[in-house]
Amino acid sequence: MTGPASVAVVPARGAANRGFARILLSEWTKLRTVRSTMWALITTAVLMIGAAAAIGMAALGAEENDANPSFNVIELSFQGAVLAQLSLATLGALAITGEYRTGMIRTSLAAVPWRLRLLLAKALVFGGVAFVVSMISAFGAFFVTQAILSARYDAATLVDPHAFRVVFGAGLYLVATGLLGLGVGTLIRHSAAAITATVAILFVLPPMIGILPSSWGRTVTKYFPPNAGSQIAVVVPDPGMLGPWGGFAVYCLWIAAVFLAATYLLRHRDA
Amino acid sequence: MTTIEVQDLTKTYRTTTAVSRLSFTVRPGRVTGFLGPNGAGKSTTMRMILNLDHPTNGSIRINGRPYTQLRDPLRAIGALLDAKAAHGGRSAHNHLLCLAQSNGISAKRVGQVLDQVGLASVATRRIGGFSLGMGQRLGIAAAMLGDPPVLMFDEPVNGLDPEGIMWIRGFMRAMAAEGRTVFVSSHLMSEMALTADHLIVIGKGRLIKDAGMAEFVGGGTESYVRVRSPEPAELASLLTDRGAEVSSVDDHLRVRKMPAAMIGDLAAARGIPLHELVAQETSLEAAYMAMTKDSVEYHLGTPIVSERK
Repeated sequence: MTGPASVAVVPARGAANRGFARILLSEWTKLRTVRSTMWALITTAVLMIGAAAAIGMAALGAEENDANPSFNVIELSFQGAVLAQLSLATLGALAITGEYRTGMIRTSLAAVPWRLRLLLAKALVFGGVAFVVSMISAFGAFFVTQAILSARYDAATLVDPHAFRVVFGAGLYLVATGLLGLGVGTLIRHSAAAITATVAILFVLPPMIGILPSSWGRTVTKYFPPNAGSQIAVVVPDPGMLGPWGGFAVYCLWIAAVFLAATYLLRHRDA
Repeated sequence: MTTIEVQDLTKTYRTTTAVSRLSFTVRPGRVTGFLGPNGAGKSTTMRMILNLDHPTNGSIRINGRPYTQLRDPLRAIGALLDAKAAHGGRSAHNHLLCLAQSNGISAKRVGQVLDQVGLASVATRRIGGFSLGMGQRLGIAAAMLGDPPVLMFDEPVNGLDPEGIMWIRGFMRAMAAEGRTVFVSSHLMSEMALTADHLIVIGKGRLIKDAGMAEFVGGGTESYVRVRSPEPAELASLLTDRGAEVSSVDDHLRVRKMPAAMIGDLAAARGIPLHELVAQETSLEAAYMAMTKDSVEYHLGTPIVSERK
């Protein structure tokens, strides 16, 4: 394929970088010009911060927390993440399945026939936006909860042991889950099927693993994507689970594997 | 060198062959029609030209290069495959903007092409609410974004109202007149007869004919006058003397290069009785039907007449 004739037309490195910046800009335009993006991002933030406020209020009024040794003022901030991760994962999936559903993918690939570059640009743009919104949500949830709890308890601050890692980690977990949605979406190509698959990974399968025989069921539980990934937002690690960063690394490996399969299919499948 | 070169192109799916060893070159300055019955492999070929589907075998070059080596594909070839290959939630302007950005085309050009296709007034409206005709115009605007020397349209008049059809025909002719390479598919000969200068006919994924429109008409069609007379020899020599070509087939004569009226007048003047005088015109449509009759994917069945008891 790459005979002498074709070597001559490969653009210089600088030109290729300019080309990639164009694709990034194009993907940014794509993401910001559909309404579902705004709604999904607002939903994410509202779920995180709103749930944090509601649960903070509820905890304030519940006297049994006073004597409960597992009552954790930091982790309490992230109860909304359970749902917020779903809205980000859905947005990630829609970023690509929306193109397949509408036929836009063929227009996109005719404009940018380098499929890996296209997916990479999409992942970077989506990941960047998800990062900003996730961090605002995670830190927002933390501060709102602590402000409410301070009326009755010793509220946590970011300099408390593990506090910064947990808050930042909760944000990272959301970003990673959004990217998981994008990867699964690229793999499956259909909006509903991709969202269903993501929900299965995040919500349906984890409790089902509990019924596996304990000899190896425990290992599966430990390494299963959301179980491993969410350890980064746990204050005191469960000795039966992976550590915070180790667990998050395992989660990232899972997502990398999904993207590897997705890029293979994207390259070889007819669009 | 603004051409589309298709060389030995083959596309097989698990059990079927959509395109088989297809080779042709689409040249600039004229409208090249891509004609064939439904299911002949036209759309598959066009998707492969855009690198959307991968050929099983063979190669395609746009302006001498494989698609993935075009520096900015939209500046080399503009295509309209299906009108609604756009996200319905995006406005026409933003749809074109993201395409323009990906190929380093200025945002100013977006306004120009929207103007050119008559969509400037609905630029900020969501594509989802567009009619088929508007969608088609948007697709053409997208194809024109990079001001490419090569244009490709898959069944562009399908589902359009008469005004839209006229507009697209005129547009394609104008683009070819500017020296661009225009490649347009259709399953209707009548449509091609109005727009194309050159025809590539395929059936069941194979090349049937690649010829200029004039050559196509001459080679694939026949028009003659069928004449029956009790004095065929005398009539034949009379008509031959006046420049007609006459051949004897079964019980009648086939006269070429002379209109039926003239044959009748000459015979009457000479007192030669005629029993039959019929102009046999084989239309382009009939020629096309004859050419592709063996390669139509799905024939219409014989109507079933139910017997009532």
